[in-house]
Amino acid sequence: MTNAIEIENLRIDLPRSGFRKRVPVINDLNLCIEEGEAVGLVGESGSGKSMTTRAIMHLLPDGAQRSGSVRYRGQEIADFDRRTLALYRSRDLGVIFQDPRAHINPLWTIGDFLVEAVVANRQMLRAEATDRAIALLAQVGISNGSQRIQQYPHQLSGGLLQRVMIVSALMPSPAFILADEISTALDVTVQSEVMAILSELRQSNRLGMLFITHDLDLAAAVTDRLAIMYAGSIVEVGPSHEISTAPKHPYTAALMASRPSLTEVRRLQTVPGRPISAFEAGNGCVFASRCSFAAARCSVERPLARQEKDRSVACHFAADLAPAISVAASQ
Amino acid sequence: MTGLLEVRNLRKAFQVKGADGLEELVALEDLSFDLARGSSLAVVGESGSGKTTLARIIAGLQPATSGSVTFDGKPLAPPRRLVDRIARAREIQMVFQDPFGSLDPIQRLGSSLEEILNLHYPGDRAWRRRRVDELLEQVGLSQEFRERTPRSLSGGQRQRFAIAKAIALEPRLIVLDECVSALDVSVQAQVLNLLSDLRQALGISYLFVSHDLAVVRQVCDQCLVMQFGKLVEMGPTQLVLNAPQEPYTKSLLAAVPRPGWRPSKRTQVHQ
Repeated sequence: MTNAIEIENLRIDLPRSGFRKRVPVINDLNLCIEEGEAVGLVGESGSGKSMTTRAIMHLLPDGAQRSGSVRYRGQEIADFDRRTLALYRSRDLGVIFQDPRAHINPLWTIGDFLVEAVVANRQMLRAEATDRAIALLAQVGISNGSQRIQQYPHQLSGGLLQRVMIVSALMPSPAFILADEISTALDVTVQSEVMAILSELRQSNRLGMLFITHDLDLAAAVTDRLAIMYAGSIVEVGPSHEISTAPKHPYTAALMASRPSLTEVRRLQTVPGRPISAFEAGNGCVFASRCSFAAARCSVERPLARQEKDRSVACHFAADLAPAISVAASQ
Repeated sequence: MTGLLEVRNLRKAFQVKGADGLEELVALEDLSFDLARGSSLAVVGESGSGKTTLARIIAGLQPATSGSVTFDGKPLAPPRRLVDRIARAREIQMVFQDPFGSLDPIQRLGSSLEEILNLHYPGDRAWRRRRVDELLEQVGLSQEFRERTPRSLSGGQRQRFAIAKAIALEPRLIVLDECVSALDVSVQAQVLNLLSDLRQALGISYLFVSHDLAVVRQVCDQCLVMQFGKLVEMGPTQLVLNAPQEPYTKSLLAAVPRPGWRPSKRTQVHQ
């Protein structure tokens, strides 16, 4: 298998008010996504999930400093010239954001919105693009596409509009989908439907996907592998069903234990403090300040990700802690 | 246990601009239920189900179109005069979803709490100071937070402070509208435990509006399911979530991601 996306030792520093120098928001991030593979990136606020998508799009905020490498099909995207970069963003990537209303022009009809990009980059003629839009709308469960494309965004519910956004991402037949918290604003029943549609389309078109969310159970259900992110670093990677049933990093276990259960009531295990950002993490393990298993070594030495078969864990004591963590996660 | 809150045939309709002139949008239709003293009642439903409208009517922020709400045996109407509002504030308090939008960003926590106490129980400065210390401690904020401002707090700390404000006057009912949905999972757990502890320690009742069934299970003993402004199903949370009777409740439960879950397309027609 070849890799669609390879992120190697990525570090991003951003200017921040109150700081003289830029501060890191992503630190030494490594992640590969194979062609056709779906990877879930799970983390809390400030963990750097969205900045990772922006790094993949090569669309970093003003003043950002980036080191390391992001490659698409083996090519370093920082070396792309303007034209290649524009084509990469518009044809190879399909991007879906959290809030559909914030990413659609309210004054344009659904149809104009859907055909704009592919017509502008000369992939299709307008009539052809309109037919494709209607066909794709049908695939996401909107059967009256020819009427819908004449409507305006305010006439559609959030669930319908998010399906329109999926169609817009698929219009140029991308090879890779970036989905950033796409179902967070949706009701659970709509979320279930939208995710089912996206999974189906992804599998039939063999699309790769980076699925960003704070919901570990949701991510596990729709991806092949999970990467758990905390304070700008990935702390654990592995097959989704393994991570979600047998986590090895204390943070992953803590995330699972702090989520209330649908079937039983028990005292929730809490993680003291709040999620921190990369620049607050210091030299040690990013999770050291909140980890109940932390030892002296954890706050002075950053653990490297240790690979064991298809799992990778960045924790000094992952091996010793395995029994304790499996108890913590199941509680 | 007797009813603290009795809601009968509650209806709320908004006038909205439609295709031909004003149209009526019915947010609540013929809603009746009781909230027992000391109980914690969840109001669950999807967006547009009317749960926030219900919360706002009970908190006195909005009048109902028709129907009645009785609180502790007395009819509850939107307070008109200042004295009524102050009296209501001692009985019912509200915590909002967004801890960033519902607090004065620059008023220090200590002064903010003292202001509330002074408005209701003027005099005795020493008592007020002791009470502020006690309140901060009850929500797990250390004494140094007295001098902090909401702007400098994290989301979880802000929501703790919002809860401290809500319990300051020892109300009998707190209306919580999606009060943990903006929080990160690890922080949400802290606030959920705090809410459970406070209810045990103080005997307050909660009307807990949420879309999150797992969260509801954690803090509520009774559960009311709403759809399109109508009551779908109500009963003990355990029963409603373990053995839902109505198809709508079943579809809500089936859509919640959990280990081993797979997303599925709904069979019902999507408008």
